[in-house]
Order: sequence, then structure tokens, then C-alpha cells
Amino acid sequence: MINRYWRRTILFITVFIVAAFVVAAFFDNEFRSRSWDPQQMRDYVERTIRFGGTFYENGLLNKGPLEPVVYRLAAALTSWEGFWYAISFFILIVSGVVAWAASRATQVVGGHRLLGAALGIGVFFHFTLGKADYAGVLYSRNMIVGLLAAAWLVALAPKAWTTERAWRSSIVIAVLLGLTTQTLLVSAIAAVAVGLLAWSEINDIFDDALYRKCRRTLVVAPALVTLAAPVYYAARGRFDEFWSGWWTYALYQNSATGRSLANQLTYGREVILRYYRTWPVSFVIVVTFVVMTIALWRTLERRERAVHLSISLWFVGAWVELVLGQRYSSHYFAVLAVPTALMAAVVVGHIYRLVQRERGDFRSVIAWPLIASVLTVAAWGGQHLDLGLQAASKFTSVHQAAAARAANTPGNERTVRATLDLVSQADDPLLTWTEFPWPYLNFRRVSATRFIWKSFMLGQIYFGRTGPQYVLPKTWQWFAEDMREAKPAAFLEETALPLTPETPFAEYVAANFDLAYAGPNYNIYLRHDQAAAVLFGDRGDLFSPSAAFGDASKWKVNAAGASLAIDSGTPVEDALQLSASLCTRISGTYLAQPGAAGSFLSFRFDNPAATSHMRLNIVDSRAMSGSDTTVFESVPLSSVTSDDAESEVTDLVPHDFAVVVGSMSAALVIDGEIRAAVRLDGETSVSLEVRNGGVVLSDLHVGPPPPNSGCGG
Amino acid sequence: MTVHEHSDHTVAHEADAQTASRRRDQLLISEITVAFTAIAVMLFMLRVFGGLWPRSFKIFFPDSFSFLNAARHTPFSPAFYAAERPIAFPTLLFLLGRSTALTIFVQTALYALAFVFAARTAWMVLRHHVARVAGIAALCVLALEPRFALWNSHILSESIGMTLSLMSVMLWWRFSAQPTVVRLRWASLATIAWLTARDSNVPPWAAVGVPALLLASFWWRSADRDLRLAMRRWAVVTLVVCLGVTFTQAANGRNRYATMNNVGQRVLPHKNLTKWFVDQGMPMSDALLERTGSSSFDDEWKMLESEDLVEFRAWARGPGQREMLMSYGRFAPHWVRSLNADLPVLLASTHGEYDAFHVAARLPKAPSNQLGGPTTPFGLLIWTLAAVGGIALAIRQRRVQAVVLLLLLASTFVDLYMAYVGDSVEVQRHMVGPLSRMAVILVMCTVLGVDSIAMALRQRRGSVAS
Repeated sequence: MINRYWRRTILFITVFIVAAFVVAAFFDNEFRSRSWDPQQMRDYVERTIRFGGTFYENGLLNKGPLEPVVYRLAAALTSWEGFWYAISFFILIVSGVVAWAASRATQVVGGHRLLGAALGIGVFFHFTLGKADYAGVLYSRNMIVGLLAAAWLVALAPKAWTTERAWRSSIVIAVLLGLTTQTLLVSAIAAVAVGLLAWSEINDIFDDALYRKCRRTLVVAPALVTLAAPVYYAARGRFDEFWSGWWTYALYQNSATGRSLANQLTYGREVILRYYRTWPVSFVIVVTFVVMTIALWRTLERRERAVHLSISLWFVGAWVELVLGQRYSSHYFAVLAVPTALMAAVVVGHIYRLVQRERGDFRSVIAWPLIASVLTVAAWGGQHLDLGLQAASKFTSVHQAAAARAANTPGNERTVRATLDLVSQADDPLLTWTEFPWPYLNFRRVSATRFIWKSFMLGQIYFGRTGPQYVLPKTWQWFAEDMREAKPAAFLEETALPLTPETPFAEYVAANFDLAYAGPNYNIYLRHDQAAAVLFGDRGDLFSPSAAFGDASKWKVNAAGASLAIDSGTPVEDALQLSASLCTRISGTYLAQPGAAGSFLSFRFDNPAATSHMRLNIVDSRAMSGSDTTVFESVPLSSVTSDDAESEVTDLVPHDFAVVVGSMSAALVIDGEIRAAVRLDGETSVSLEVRNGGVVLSDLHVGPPPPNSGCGG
Repeated sequence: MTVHEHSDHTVAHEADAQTASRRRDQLLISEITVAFTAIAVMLFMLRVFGGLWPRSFKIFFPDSFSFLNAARHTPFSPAFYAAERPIAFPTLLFLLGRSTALTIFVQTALYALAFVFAARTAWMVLRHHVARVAGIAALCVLALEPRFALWNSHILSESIGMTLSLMSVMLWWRFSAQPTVVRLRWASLATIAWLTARDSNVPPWAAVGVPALLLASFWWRSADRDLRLAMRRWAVVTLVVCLGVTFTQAANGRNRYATMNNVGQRVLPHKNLTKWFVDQGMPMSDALLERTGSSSFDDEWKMLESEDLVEFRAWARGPGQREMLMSYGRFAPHWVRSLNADLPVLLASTHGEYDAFHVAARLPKAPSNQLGGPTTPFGLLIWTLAAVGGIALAIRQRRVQAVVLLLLLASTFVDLYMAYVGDSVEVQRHMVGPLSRMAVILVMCTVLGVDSIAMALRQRRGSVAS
């Protein structure tokens, strides 16, 4: 026996490393899990929270309701900023269950408990910190493998099939398998594979009535759970919405590739060959498993045979799912990775048993999990481990982590968010014409329509054809209903994906919105009333500003105007105080008077608790948003001017301007267009600095802010 | 088999089964404890490293390069043992290939593991759960104290010094709880390691540890002969180590900096002190007087390079060091007053100016109520009273423990004094080791008192019940 001090030392180091895996995975996957489909799912969930109703009324979902339910749970358990931490936690759970299933598979065929643990560590690392695209994310297929692995664990649990527990175990397995097929119908074969294992396990129940009851449950309950979704939505009167996504759109996805079944199978064969050429280790595992199954078949016990058969069928089912799915996206391969991992676990278990029979127990077995954890990092790389540990070591709070990320927001996104904040609040609806799920989340808005992407409205099928035949029958009716309900205050257009004309969507935009900001990456349209309030607004009363230096100031202040001579030499602190509070609209006319270094006017927002300021600047012929040290975004003073950042065109004409200040953001409107906008964080007053040249301000008015700018009243 | 025999067998069987079951439970509990400890150590290291490990820990302290230079000699060269630094940290650097990343990892792990060892010692030595929990909680707070933990991020001897100091103190505590030759050996070995970490560790041990061991070896009548002989042996061995560290450090001339710093910043500003040093042979000159208030590194190393101070430097390299040492005793009241005046700043220091890698920002904030060791003179007074009270409470029931802790407590004040007077430059940094050691010993003494009270209450309750 190994000395107990060595035992504890090895245990200490193993736990140290595995705990580092878990911590790293939690923090790395918080970022990594924000993949495409998860963001799409969050868009649906956030919309459901905002507008109520079923998930299928809030998004086009071609899978069962389990996935949005899980994401809804994450939203319920955490704050808006903490959402992805909950998802990351779920990823840990799913990966842990899969790892446990692999560990159990090793033990079932005679492998040592610690050999199982070693294998489990490897599998856990692969699914949480591995390089594969299906690692560290929570797509529907990750959930499916989690469900199947959980069912597998229950089926093989040592005390699952006692007289007292057998029926309960059957129900649990049946529900898990039912949820699997409900989520994705093509996973039925894999579900049958695990179901067969459970069926084999109930064979040892002596009580005939109980045996029949369990068998009935294992056959009927999965089907009932699968059908529960359509029945539920039919009962709620939302069958059309459900069926359109779950069935009709899934059919479109299948048919839009234009492949016949024979063609799908031929293509599948090519992919399989290519896959195993790329991943020879997987091929070796599969071949070894098959050879071992054949060679040992006669010596295997009934239970072991069931395990072999179940894994084999699960493996075939996984490939069938991939072949019929036709897309072979890299994250789909999670469905294949789990049966392959189980094959490896079984092979290792058999090898252990064969060797152990010959030479007796291994003294080194206590160190195997430790060796596995080290080898795992060596084999699969420590990139995500490193990133995760770095994130963990810097983490102080969810809010702080979110703030650190927000500090790196690109300038164009800052402008959009600041502009949206002048006309709507967080979680309000936003209409966009986009191909991506992230605009809604980046700007903290929900989609005004359930069709979050333009592809749904144009009949563009992922990895398939495009055509009106792939637009769901009630699409435009539902779009109109969504618009009536949401009344979006803004429409966001990506300049790289211009709005497709002659669609009901384009007609709605044309009828309801005005262009307010045209930038290099985004165009922002505001609803007519909002555009009027922000761009032209109620000008209010004439007013005379005051100078910060009072009588010592070089500003010349007169009724409704002020001026500062060219290169007056006054320090920038000699600013013109425009407003002592937020929630205002200061408008007038300015005439820049360039000096030797050009012209530089800066509307400065002061935060009494901080030394830095947010700024909206007019520098020669450009408008800029930024802070004291950083320029967030720079655009020409007019959207019709060509954007050549290198040229410094002297601007000598007077311009109408307005500084529109809401409770959370401010925008600079020049000649009826928003040209810069910035979010505020604790700033309380507005003043004007002249950093180069001079300026003449006239016709100064102070009026109310836009009605939805968070200023109340 | 008679009914009686059968019954006896059954009872024996049940007893065996119960023992086996208890053993299994204990094994499980110990493994769970090991697992949780591993997680705690991992999280501590993670927060200390702050995403900077392994690439971003750059060394910039001149002293760090001096440790690396010492390690470059390798232990196979005699120069290694007389290099500018005592051998413990250069040995670690040598073993780790002088890799900054590895050294920071290992010294942080050792620091954390030393506290784990301390917690285990508290659990073993203390008897009542309340005292055990209080002791372990206090040790955890000390481990997380940013002013101590931040030194793990530097290639300096502070971290390994604190680690070895903690190990040594805990092993003496174990020895005091159950004095055996084996425990004495481990405690002495740890002490030797600690002595070779920093030369300023020598005075407290030479002043308190060696005499205490020698006296006990003669006068501790109830101890068995082997133990007394071993104590005598280890007293001699540790004394030899003390002398070795002192002479090698004197030989390499590094102590001249401390002497010159002290003369410039602490002696010359005081006429009486200056007169005494001049009387003892310090060469006085206008150039030296001009250095009043300056260290040897000020004004572009003027004290080290000026042609006018050649004689003074020769004195500082030789007899000056001895005179300086003598002055610590001769003018002890003056130095104590000086220490007392500087104590508020020294105790309150967070060492933020040394926290180049922002370790403090990633660890829990230091408790403001003195729980992480004294941070004000008043806090030090309260802690000392609590510690002395704890020792007094324990002295009847646990005499050896009380005496050993009292000696350790006394040595911390010697340590504090010597760290202060030893060099006038970077006093706060030199105080890190003594202050962390003092905090640990104050905690030990106090929880021993808590343990004594709790046990006395338990016994009284037991006797009332019976």
C-alpha cells in the first residue's frame, strides 16, 4: 500500500489541478459561451421577458423548448450582467455529467475507480477547456449529450434498479430521453441507444408486474414527453407559432440544401472519411472499440454487452444525426464526441481488467488522475486554461468585469448606444436589419420583432438556398403584429447590410422612421416623433451662459450669445458654462474661428466624482465623441461630406447645433443630424471649452430633453 | 461454542466493525480536508498571481539581482556561501534554475502551504474546538494579509523568510506540546533554515533561542536525558549557524552599507551619539558631517565614492560594524525611543509602494480591527497583553508550551528591535518578516489562552455534571 502521506500529497496536487480546471473553465466559458446560437437564444429569452408569451412567439425556434427554458433559467438566476456566468455554470454541470458517464463506463467493464476518475478528468477538460468548437458552449446539442449522459448514468447507477427505485429510475430516464428527442428529433437514434441500455438493466427485475411497468414507461414516456411540447402549445393556442419553428422551418432547413437522401448519404461518407483523416486518434479509438467488442463478445457479461451495444448504436445515431443534419458545423460534433469518449472509456476499462488479471493491482493507481490531468493539458493545450485562470485571478465582481469589458467598446457602438439611450431605455425594443444576434445584446435592447435576422424574412436558409418559398407562411402578419406591440423608437441599419427594398420591413421603416445618424458602420433611424424631439426639438427659451472665470474670463457673453477671440490665450479651464445639470437641450448657432492650430471646440461633461470628462468635440470639420484621453468615434461634420479623416478642412461657415442631454447620454446635433454621441456615467454639468481658435455663439436657447431620454416627466 | 462465547465473538466483531467504520470515516474526513485545502491554496495562488504569471513578473529591485548573482555561484562554489546574501533564498533560486516564474510559483505555494501547516499544528496542539477554529481563522486572516502576501510576487527573501519563520515557529509549538527528540530535530532544522534566510534573523535566535536551549538542557530536570543532550547539541549547532551567517555576511562587506546608512541618517544628527562613535574611532571629517541625514546611496553614492571619505569607509568596513553593534546595547534606550517614535508608521504600513503587481487589490481587504496583527502601537499593546494573558492562563496546565511561547514572544521583540536598528534604509521592508512572525506568535499565545479557558470551563462543567 502506498504511504498515506504520499496518498494525501497526490490527492492534494490532483485536487489543486482539477480545481484550477474548474475555476478556469467557469471564467473562460463566461466569455467563450457567448457564441452565435447562445446569443440568439438569449435574444429570444430577453424578448420573452420584455413582451411575455411563449418562446415561439418571441423568436423563430427550430428546436424544442428545453434550450430557451435553460437560458430563461439563467436569466432568472442572475442579473443582466451575470447571465453568462450562469450559462458557464450550466456548462460545468453538463461537462461534469458527461465526464462522470465516461468514468462510470470504465468502471462498468472492470476498470478501477481511479482509472475512471482519470478518464473523467480528461473528458471534463475536453468539454470545458478543449480547443473543439463544441467545448465551453451551451448549444442545444451540448444539452442533448448532457441529457443522454445523465440517462446513461441513471441506467448504470448501482442502486437504480432495486424494487423500490426501479420505476422512479425508469421515469427519470424516460423524461431525459423524451427531452432529448423533443429538443432535436434527429437525436432519436441516440436516445434509443441509451433506452436500450436501460431496457437491458430492467431485465434483472424479478417482479414481473414491476418489470412490465418499467418497460412500458421506458417505451411510452419518452414519446409522451416529446409530444408534450406540441400539445402544450396547442392548448395555449400558439400551435402555429410552435409548429412553424419546430417543424416547418426544420423542414425548410432540410430541403433547402437541395440534396436527395442518397446525395446526403454520399456526402456524409465523404465527411466521415475526411473527419477520421483529420482526427486519427478518434479513428483508433473507434476501431479498437469495435475489435475489442468482437474479440471479447463471448466473455462479456450481459450488462457489458448492453453497454457495448448501446455505445455502438449511440455512435451510429450520432453520425446519422450529423449526416441528416447536413451542415457539419464544428459545434455539432459534440454529439459524436460523447460516444467516442465512452468508447475510449470502455477500451481503457477492458485493458485495465486484462492487465490487472495478469499482474494484480497497480500501486500507482492513486496517481493516475494526477497523471491524466497533466497529460490532458499537454495533449489538448492550455490556452483556455490560461485565459480562464487569468480572468479568475483578476475578477472582483460581475459588475466590475462588465465595466472593464464596456470600457473596450468600439466607438461606433458607443455612438449607437448613446443615441438609443436618448430615445429609449434598456430592454426596450429595437428594430434592426441584421444577420447577427449581438446588436441587441451589445446595445442592451430586445428585438422589436420575433424575426431577429433578415434571413428569416428573406428566406435565406443557413448553408442552403434562398427564396420566398422558405419564408414562413405568416411571417409578415406576425411582423406587423410585433410592430404594433413593440412600436420601436429606433431602427438600426448596418451599412454593410443595407435594408433590402420592397419588403414589408422596408415599407414599415420608410413609413415610420427618419434618418438621424449616418456613420461609417451604422445608420440610426428614429421614429418620426423621436427624430423631431432629438434633431429639432422644443428650442425653449433664449439664455445667456456664464464663464467659469467670471469677470476674469476672456469670454464675451451677451444676450443669447457668447464669443471667444481667436487664440485668446485663456486657459481651457476658462470654459463657458452651459448647464449645471443633465436633461437639457442647448441649441443655437456656432461659427468656429480657426487659429494657427485650427479650431477645436469641446462640449465637456463634468463628473464631480472623477477627474476625467466625457466630451463631444468639433475639431475643424469633424465631430468626435470621447473622453479626455480617448477618441471614441470621429466622423465628418456632415454625413454628405466624404469621410477622409486625414484632411483637415477649415470650416468657416456658421452651423446650427444642439447639445441634447438625457439622463444617460448626450448627442451633438449639427445642421439637423446627430454627428456624435456619448454615454454619461455620473456627469452632472455641461460646459464648452475652446482648445484651439475662437468661436462665436449666437441664438442660444435652452429647452427640454427628448421625452424618452430617461429624464422623467 | 457456548452462548457466552458466541455473544463474546459477536461483541468483538461489532467492535472491530465500529473501529473500521470510524477509521474509514476519519480517512474520508481527512481526504475531504486535504481536497478543500488544495482548493484554498489554488485560489490563494490564483489571486496572488493575478493573471500576470508566468510572463509578467519582471524584477526591478537591485536586491533581486543581488540574490540572482548569489545563486549564480551555485552551492558547489565556496563563493556561494560568502556571497552578498545568506544562502536560503539563493539556494531556492539555484534549485529552480534562477527562473523568476518558477520561483514566484514555488515561493507562493510554500508560503500558502506553511500556513496550511500552521493551521494543522493549531488543530493538533489546541484541544477545544472554539480555540482551534479561532486559531485557524486568525491564521487564514494572516495568510491573506496583503502587506505580507504581496512579497510572494517579488524575487526577494521576504517570502521565503516568512515561510521558514512560520515553519520554525510552528515546529517549536509542536515541540512544546510534546517534547521529543524528533520534534526538537525538526524544529531546529527549520530554525536553521530560517536563520539562513536573512542575516537579521540571527540576533533574536542568538539572544533568546540558544541560551534558552542551553539553560533547559541543564536545568529541565523532568526532561529525559536524551532530550536534554539533544537540546544541548542543537543549541551548539544553531549557534554555529548563527556565527557562520554572521561571519560570511561580515566577510563579504555588505554590512558596511547598513553601518554607513546608520551613521549618516541616525548617528550624525545626534551630537552625543556622534561623539561616542568618534571616541570609538570613527574618523570624523567635514566631508562626513556634510553627509548628515543621508544614506550611502544618496547624492549619487557620495558616501561610497567620495575621495574624502576613504578613511571612513575603511572604518565602516571593519571596526565600525562592531561599534555599531555595540551601540545597539549601549544606547538601547535611545534606539527604543526612536523605534517607538517610528512605530505608528511602521505598523500601519501596507507596503503599497512595493506592490508593483497589485496583489493587494486582488486579495480581501486587510481587516481594519487589528485582526490581521497589530497595525497601531495601541493594537500592539492590546495584542501583547492578550498574548501574555494567554500564556499566564496556560502556565499551570501547559507549562512547557507557555514557556516556549513566552520565549518566542520575547524573541519577536528582539527581532523587531534588531530589524529596526539594523539599517536605516528601507526600514519598512526589513520589518515585514519580524511583523509577520510577531503576528503569528501573538495569535498562538492568545488562542492558547482561549484554549485554556475553554478547557477549564469544560472541565468545570464536567465535574458539576458528575
